[in-house]
Amino acid sequence: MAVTPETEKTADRPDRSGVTVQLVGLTRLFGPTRALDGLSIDIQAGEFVAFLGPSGCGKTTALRIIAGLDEADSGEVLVDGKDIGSLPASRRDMGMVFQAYSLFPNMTARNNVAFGLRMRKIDKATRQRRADEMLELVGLGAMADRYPNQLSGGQQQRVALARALAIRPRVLLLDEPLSALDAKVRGELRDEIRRVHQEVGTTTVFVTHDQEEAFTLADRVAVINNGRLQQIGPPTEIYEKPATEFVADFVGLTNRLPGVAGDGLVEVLGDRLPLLDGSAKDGDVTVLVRPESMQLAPGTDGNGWVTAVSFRGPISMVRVRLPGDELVLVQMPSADSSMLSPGTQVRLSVRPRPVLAVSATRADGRSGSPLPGDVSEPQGSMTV
Amino acid sequence: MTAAVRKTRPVRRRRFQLRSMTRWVVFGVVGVYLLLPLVAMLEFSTRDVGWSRSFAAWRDIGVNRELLGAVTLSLELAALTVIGMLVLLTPTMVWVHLRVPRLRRVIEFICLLPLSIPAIVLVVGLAPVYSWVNYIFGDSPLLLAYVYVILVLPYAYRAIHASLLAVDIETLSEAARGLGASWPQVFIRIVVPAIRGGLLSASVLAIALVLGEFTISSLLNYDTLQVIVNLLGLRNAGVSVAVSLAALIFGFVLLFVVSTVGSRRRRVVRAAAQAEGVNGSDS
Repeated sequence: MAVTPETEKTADRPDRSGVTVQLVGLTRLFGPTRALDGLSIDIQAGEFVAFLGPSGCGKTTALRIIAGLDEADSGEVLVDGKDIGSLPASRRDMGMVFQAYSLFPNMTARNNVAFGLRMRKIDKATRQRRADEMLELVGLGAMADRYPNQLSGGQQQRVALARALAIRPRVLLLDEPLSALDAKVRGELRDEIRRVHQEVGTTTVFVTHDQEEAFTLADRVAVINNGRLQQIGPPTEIYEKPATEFVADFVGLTNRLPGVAGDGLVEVLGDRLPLLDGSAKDGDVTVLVRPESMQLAPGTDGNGWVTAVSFRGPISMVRVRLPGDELVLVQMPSADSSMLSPGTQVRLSVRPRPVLAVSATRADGRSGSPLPGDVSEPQGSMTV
Repeated sequence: MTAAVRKTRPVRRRRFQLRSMTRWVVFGVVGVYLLLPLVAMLEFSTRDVGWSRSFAAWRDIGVNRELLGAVTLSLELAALTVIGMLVLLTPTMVWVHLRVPRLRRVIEFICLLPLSIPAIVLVVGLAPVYSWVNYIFGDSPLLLAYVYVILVLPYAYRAIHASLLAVDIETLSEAARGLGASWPQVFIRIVVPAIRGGLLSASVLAIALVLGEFTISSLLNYDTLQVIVNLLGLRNAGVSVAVSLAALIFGFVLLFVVSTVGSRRRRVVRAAAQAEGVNGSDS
């Protein structure tokens, strides 16, 4: 299946509710490690935002600071414009679903869901009714009297979601709630989360290291690395117009091709292409190109040779070796790839779309070489 | 069926029979080791002239006021010790576990100290303390609960510590706080039920220790159950042995009741919740 971030989900949203959330210059130190380094993100009312990044990038720390379970060394968390830094977790009205199963083992599913209402001194009849409604919402109305150890992992996370929603939170915080589940249940619960969010419209922050989850669920994705925001935007923008080398590397597959930049254009594989904002403007550069932005045509005057064709249903991934022995990955329809076989000479080119170019010598000191055809595998888990 | 399969089946059966027999032998040896002294005590306490049997020593237990007083005192001390231990240790350990984990080693060291200090040394150190305690609070034997709480710390610490490690208390407490629970509510409604098994184990160990403790109460001149049993032994060996056996059986029954009450209650609640049309209770 081709990498095509979901684009149709913003249209079907009902009326928004919820609050705005602003993270302003959040910094959090753990000894010498800067878990957050001046992180600033604005989240709109009713928006579903995913914090995406590799392990240890600070996304969970940011979520815990929003929830009041951790404190920032500096910076502010504003909810509807008010600083909530001094409020304890118990008074922030935020529902949270954890990565680990967090249902109270001594309570039934119903009583777990009703717990937050009980803490708010809501009468028993009301809280039981609300708990049952929430369990129905997540499709577990028939399991209200079961204890956590009588529920599967997916069911437990659904109950946890119902429990978080039962208090009608101002913000719903989801800390990798799907990562402990197997693939099938994960997919089902992901759809469930999306559906529930569309129904209740609560402002939601979803932490994940799985880009497929982030792209499927979120209105906007905030890519975080080393405690800093790399880019925030709709999934399509993150994928098609990565603002930084890290985003291009982290999201999807990326070919690294040598080029020369100048006059707002970059020359790569003999073609001149426009540059995205944030690109290196002059001199030798490394051009980051998605496999689906590459195109090839068989021909004896080609500049590369096919080394492998990998069939993936409607699309195929073709590996092409350049004269300098470098490899480039090309995504194309399987119908077009049927004529290709290892050894076929092909002409490689890049589709005429804006591309991101970075300095040939990277900021982290790692040489850009072997640049021609250096394919970066995705760090997340998107299926290509 | 191949010849090889036919050949291996009797071998497996023999191995199974051997394992089963070994289990029963071990079970029998341990049973004899534990029960033989009790049978000997019963035989001795019912011995009469010649080959006849008498339960006179057992009847004396019910009418001996000194003994009844000691039993009552030991039970009161056991109850006070359990309460003191739970009140002192549970919040401390939970707080350290959740909020200041760097102090875990310190707390563990303090709690395990009584294991390394002989009872006689404890008494020597506590005698001056107790003279002041008696001066201020009066000479109540219930004050022994103070030193008993110290004595049970190592065992109680281990039991509670194991239960804290067995449950993800951090996540549960964070979930509860996020839902609006204050720290006391988190402790009472979430943490204590989650570690109830450990608390019960700690209580059982405390009761066993108090009912069997002799050295400290004897040296501090308090007439607890074991002290009186010892005194009775000097006057009437039959009664002394009968009381010892009765105390052992009483202890076994008490510990069995305490250790099973929690799990049985949970099973009952769960069964009720699963019954059709019955709502789980959260009141």
